[in-house]
Amino acid sequence: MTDSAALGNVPAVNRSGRLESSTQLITILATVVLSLTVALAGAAVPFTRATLTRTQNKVAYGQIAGGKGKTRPASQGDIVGPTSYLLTESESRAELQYDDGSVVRIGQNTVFSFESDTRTLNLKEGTFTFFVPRGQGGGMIKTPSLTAAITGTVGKVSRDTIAVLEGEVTLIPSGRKVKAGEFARMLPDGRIVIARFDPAKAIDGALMAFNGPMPGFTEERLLPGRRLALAIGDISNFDTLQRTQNLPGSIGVFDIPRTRVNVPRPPNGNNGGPPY
Amino acid sequence: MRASFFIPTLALCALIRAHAGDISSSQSAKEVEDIGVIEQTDPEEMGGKPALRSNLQMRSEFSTNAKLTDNHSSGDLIFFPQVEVGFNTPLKHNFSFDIAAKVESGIYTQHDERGFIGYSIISTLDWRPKINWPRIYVGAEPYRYDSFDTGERITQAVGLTAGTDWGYAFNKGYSMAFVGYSFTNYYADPTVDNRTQNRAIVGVTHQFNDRMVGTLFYQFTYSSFQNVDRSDYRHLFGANLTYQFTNSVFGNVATTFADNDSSADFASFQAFGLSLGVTVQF
Repeated sequence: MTDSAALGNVPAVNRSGRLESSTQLITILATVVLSLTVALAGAAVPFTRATLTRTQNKVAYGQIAGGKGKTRPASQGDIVGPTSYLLTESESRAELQYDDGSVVRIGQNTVFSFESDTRTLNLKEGTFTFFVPRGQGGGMIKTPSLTAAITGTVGKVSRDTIAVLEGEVTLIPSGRKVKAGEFARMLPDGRIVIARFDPAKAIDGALMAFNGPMPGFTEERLLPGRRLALAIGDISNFDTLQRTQNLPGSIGVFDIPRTRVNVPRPPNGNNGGPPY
Repeated sequence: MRASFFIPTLALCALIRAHAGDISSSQSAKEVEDIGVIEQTDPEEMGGKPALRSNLQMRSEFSTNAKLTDNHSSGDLIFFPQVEVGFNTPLKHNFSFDIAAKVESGIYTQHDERGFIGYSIISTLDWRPKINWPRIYVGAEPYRYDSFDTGERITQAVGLTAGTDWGYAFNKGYSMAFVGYSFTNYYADPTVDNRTQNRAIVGVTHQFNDRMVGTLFYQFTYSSFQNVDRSDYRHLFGANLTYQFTNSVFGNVATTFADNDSSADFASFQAFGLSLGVTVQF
């Protein structure tokens, strides 16, 4: 379990003070219930470790020891455990891959950690994108403003926003669903709203292509028609050629002497077509 | 469109509009750089805004059978200049409408009597129920082709089409397999060209890098002519490679092999083509 104190973790609660304690309690209860459910289901593979599959510029690997965080430069191939965390500086990014196939891409100026048994992805600052495959036990996302349970999902996360590209997430404690094409955001007044975003913009952002297309979601899956149009372009070109050269009427135009001598009129035609 | 959340979203949007300033992005520039802008969008705006497009294309193709007849002695180099202006607009409930006007020509190096100029307008209404579901579409295409040599009309028709296609991405999204089917009824003048066409296509496209995309496909077309005793079974195999030079300039090299088996002997043909083209988009 990550040391929340060392990371300065902010409880995922409503910022309006009066509701804070009750909301926090409900959040904890919901988290416990969810964790028990996942554990009883027996399907969850704990996030015991993740491999750093790509780093860009300044990424630091942090280890909690004696309540204090100790950091060192991170490099590709590092194994990150649940007592560790990652810090990125400006213009720096990283990608983590878990044993169950889950992928997390961490944006710049980000503090990220994860918890093993509850399969929780923690964001203190910055951004990340995530892919959690279906059938692996789901997990949780915690930010300073939002907490959500996930199953098989692809999404984007910042301090106050969770956007779902594939699948759905369930907000805790409200139980409200955020479906593909929607995002949840905590507003400055403490309200959490769910709204739709333009799916054509889902691919935007450096993390979506940081180490190849985001697993579980690609532009092509969103807009397959774009490539399809490109792929079939030559077919329409050939159809044009056949329309003008090979149809009965066009042969009648190009081979005038033959057709004019021999053409019997088609049943309802008066068009000088070729002999068939 | 998911009805289950589309309707609640409408109601939510009405609520949200009253707080438009609240929900608008508080993202920092760095956040936007990493995950893009995440903004509430009205259903009316979903899928982007209407877009006007135009492009100019020049393609040269060598065909082993430029006349597409059973007499395979008409190898020729053909130039295909083309100008297209199009308009696409997203509609509610995941519908979109596209219309394109096209002027194209075929200029034959040796068989210049075969040269033509054509005019067409293609309008398509398509619908994709959910993001990764197949696309379903209907379309209408009036077209006319005139002979350069005689000035005579070669053919004109209106084609009414219904079809569906679907692409499935794999290989981390770098590759996509696709299938499609369409049915078209052509009402032609001369009416001897009246026909129905069933087309099925299967293929795969692969993105080699940021600039290069290649495609392999096979298309089967069955054409049944209504006013003459002719039916065609056409097998078309193709491969093409597209390279994006700049944001608006594309190069394309392509090859096709067509085998048309027609009940009218002279319309049975095989043709092999190799083409090189450049497209400029505006």
